Amino acid sequence: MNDYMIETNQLCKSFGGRAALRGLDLRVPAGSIFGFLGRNGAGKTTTIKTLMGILRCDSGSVHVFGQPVRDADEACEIRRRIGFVTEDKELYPYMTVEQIIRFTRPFFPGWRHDLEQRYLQMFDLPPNQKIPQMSKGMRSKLMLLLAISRGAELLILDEPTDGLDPAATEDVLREVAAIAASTGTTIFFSSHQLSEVERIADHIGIIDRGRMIASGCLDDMKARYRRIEVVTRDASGLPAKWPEGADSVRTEGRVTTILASRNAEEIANEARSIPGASVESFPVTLKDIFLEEVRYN
Amino acid sequence: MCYLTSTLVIFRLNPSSGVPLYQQLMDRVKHAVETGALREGDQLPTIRKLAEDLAMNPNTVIRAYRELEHEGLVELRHGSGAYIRESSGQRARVIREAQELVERTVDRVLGLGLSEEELRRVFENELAQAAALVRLAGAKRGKP
Amino acid sequence: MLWYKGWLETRIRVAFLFGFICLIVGMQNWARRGASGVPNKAAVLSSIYTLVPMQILITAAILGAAGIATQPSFAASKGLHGSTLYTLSLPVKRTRLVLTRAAIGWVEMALALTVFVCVIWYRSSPLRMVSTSAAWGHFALAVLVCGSTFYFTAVLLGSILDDQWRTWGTMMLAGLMVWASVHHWLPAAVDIIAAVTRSSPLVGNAMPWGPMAFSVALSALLFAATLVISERREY
Repeated sequence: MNDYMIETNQLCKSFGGRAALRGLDLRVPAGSIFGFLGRNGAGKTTTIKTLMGILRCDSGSVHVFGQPVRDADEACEIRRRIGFVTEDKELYPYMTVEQIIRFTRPFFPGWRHDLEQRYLQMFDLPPNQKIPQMSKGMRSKLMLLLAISRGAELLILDEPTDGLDPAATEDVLREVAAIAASTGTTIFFSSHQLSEVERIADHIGIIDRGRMIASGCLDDMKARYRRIEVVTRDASGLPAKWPEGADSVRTEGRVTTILASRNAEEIANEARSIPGASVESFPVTLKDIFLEEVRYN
Repeated sequence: MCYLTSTLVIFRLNPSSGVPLYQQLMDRVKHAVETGALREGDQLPTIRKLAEDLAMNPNTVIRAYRELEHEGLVELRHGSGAYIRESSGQRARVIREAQELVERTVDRVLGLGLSEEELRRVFENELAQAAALVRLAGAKRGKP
Repeated sequence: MLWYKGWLETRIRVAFLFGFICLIVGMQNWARRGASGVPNKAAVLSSIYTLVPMQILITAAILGAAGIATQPSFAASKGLHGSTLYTLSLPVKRTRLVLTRAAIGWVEMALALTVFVCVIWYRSSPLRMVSTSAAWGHFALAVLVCGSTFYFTAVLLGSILDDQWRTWGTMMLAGLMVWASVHHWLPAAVDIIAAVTRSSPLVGNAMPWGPMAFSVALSALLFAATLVISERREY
């Protein structure tokens, strides 16, 4: 009995000649808030569609809730337990708020009327509002309402705060935090807003060119990663090879900057052993980790 | 209870500062105790409320509260919440004493003509070295 | 609640169709009389021969859809309207999505075409006096069955193309068939257009069983293809 809400193994998928996923290994612990990061075109949307059973992969396995997602029946059952927010937040243009709720409700036996009412009020969504006339912020909130009111055990949010003004962003993040705190729902979301991810996620995964290049507990990663700056008299004293974990080493003039993904102490000590060198070690933000891992890859 | 939430909501925690969020939260609580804004017996906001108001991961709040309990500053009462411990006042007093010591030293060093940045670097270097020495001593003690 | 969605999605189109029927049929000069003062049955019939294919065409093109990607993609940035993804994310199998939407559209088509025939019957007094009620009944049935081919063509196209293209595509294909029929290029057994115009029960012919059977078979084939494509297509 593993406690991964989502687990993929060596997922591969190609469209035409182009490989979108090349052996993706994804592990999302149950009850976590997982930030899924990657450049545009790295394979995030393909991954999300695969998790939802909308896309079938060429090879590899997908398990959600511990169940495999192989055929249409299994995929259908999985979707009954997932709340989903799409990237562009588009819904049916011929419906109103009330109508789309009425449409969505019967599909989910575990529908929470209390949450539906709560969010209708909290997000200030007028029931007779026509969807095409709603701003993107309002549509995002409506989709969040539809996703959360299902009483789902897993929420998959594709760029939930994309294009939202700061106030709407704050509202969305607050509700995500509230849901996680009160129900223990696992939340899997992709985002480009790294500062928000840093705030709300406890695990992250970085996907690049169809593969997971870094993943794990965010606190651990931020503890492990350090930026080490070494100022030397000249370039001669620098070691030919840095210890394991020195992911990127850049030397400009007298300053060498090292991004260490682990063994920061060892690397710093190596640097301190250079005669006349001054060594400083800095913590690293998620943005730094992201940019370096993606470039290093 | 309102104080902590409102101050944190206005003066947000900084996720990109390099200091882990749970650490920042702990520091805020400690600061509140030192200044007397939170007194012995006061209740901290519930995990859910704090996570929601600040839009942050509830596990971070949990971790901060647990660490504070571990350090003896806070007491987690089952079913009821987190309360400032009776003995926390003592810690606050010790911290205030340290603050005065540091204030005097800083005044003297600044009198030497160092800039704020230089001063900060000197302090951090000292701290790092002291921490390294402590670890070294601990490691040596560990050897048979 | 797929029926609910289907209804909300198509109700404006149905209203449009009914309005269209009333307008077009109403505008025809049914009371044309010849030099001798006798109502001109031939002229009336020729009006019908024009109207029926057109009505079937438009009804099919407007109402047919495959139920998955039902919104025009012109507004979307990535080629597929976002609501498609929402539909696909629901715990419903694609087969059911296609079936339900096709059924709703077909029922609406049946209604529209029945009303159409009734309106013609009501307005074309010369014909009413000449053809029997049974003939009208047979005619209505023939229109329904033969019209289904065009409907399921639209449904099939709806599973491949997006909203606007599906409409135009259906009209073009149907238009081709009408053209071929008018020029007598199609064998009588499969000429479903002739079955509702010049060879229809309305002019005293027997039920056009051949073309009707052909239409049923073709409809089934088109629908089966729709199901397969919807299942396989990668959205």
